[in-house]
Amino acid sequence: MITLIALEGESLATLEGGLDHLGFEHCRAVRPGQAAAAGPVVLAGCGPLEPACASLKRSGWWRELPQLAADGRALVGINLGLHLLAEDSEEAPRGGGLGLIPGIVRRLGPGVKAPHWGWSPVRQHRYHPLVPEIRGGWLFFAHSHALDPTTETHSVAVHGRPFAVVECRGRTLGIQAHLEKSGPFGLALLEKILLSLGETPHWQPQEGCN
Amino acid sequence: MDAKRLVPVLQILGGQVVEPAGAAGPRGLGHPAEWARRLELEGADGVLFQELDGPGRPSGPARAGWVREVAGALFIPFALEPGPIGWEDLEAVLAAGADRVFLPGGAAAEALVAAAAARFGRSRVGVAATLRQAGDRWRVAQGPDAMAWMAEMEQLGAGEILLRTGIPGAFPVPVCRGAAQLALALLVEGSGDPAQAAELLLEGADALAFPAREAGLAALKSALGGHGLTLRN
Repeated sequence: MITLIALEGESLATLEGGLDHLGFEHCRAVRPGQAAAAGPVVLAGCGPLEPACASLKRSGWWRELPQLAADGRALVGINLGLHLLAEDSEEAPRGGGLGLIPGIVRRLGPGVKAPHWGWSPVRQHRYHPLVPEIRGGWLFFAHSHALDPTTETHSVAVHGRPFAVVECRGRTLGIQAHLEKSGPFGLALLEKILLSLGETPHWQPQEGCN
Repeated sequence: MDAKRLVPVLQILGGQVVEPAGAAGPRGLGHPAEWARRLELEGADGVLFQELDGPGRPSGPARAGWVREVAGALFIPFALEPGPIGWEDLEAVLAAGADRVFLPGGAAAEALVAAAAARFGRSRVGVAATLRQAGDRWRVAQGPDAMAWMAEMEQLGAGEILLRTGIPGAFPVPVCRGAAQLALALLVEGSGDPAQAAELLLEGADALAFPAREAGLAALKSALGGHGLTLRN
């Protein structure tokens, strides 16, 4: 069962639609106590960082996520979720990241469209056992900040400068692209990642986690 | 390298896709999610829903209902141009899953643009306006010069502007060149004519919105590809 963290002000509608389409069971959890007993925990969003930080702190997720990562639970951060999993962000310096993925999230530009709201080709940099091989393909992005790639980065795209598309540390994955909005290519990638995290497709979307 | 986006437009009235032309008034064509999904499968890079003003214009909850259905069934980004909208209804359609909302341009909307960008993020807020020619300049309605207006919208926090002229086949190329210097994106509403689309995209427009049934997407992509434009394949 995939647990989707319900951040205030963020919509999970398309992600839930994508998971339904692929047949994965999922549930929303406002607080950690509402999370499923097992399975990946997904932190997704595309709004400003500070309200999301505040929402995570109010709900108790801010304290819970590092513990879940230490316990080996799979965590997946999508777009804003990746920024929250990183060490810090120029969007809200000092205190804007959980530090579960190394690196500082930096503002895009200058000299480019920001937000970057569109489709970019993605190139694989490095092998990771939890992420399928990417042999080229286009993904959809909606962000004004991004993590700089390192030698550990799984895949990259370019918007003015190269940035990390998929960043993995153990069973913690940060994904800058909106796979659920990236057509068949993005959905296939999402499906393979969830399969590699041990999820099995079923067909029964749930009202709650417990 | 970013791809130029091709964005078919669906017009909505009463929660249904409609064909507005015709003496008998708008003709219902079907559900927005079904139409949008069809456009996704044809290769659209996004879908823009324009809500028509009229007696069938839905209340906030009804609008959020069909937007939620689209969000659950469409796996490419979609935007909504709802016309005049209040804060609660804006919050509702974004929570329902609209990736971006184009707010109406104009003095009254400025505060809303700034507040929405601060709360929901620049990527979810756009501004729409119609350009009018005044001598050798283009203005937003009777208001400011188009270039100054675009810069102001960027300062307020808009992530994209949607511009149209209302004149078939006419759109000022200098406005595209001006937008290319800004950080916000420019979505031009045009006819879908490949020659005009190629010119505007080559001169700086980031995306083209056009009537969903005006031109086959595959044919338009093929024609634009011949002009050296980068398009998603």
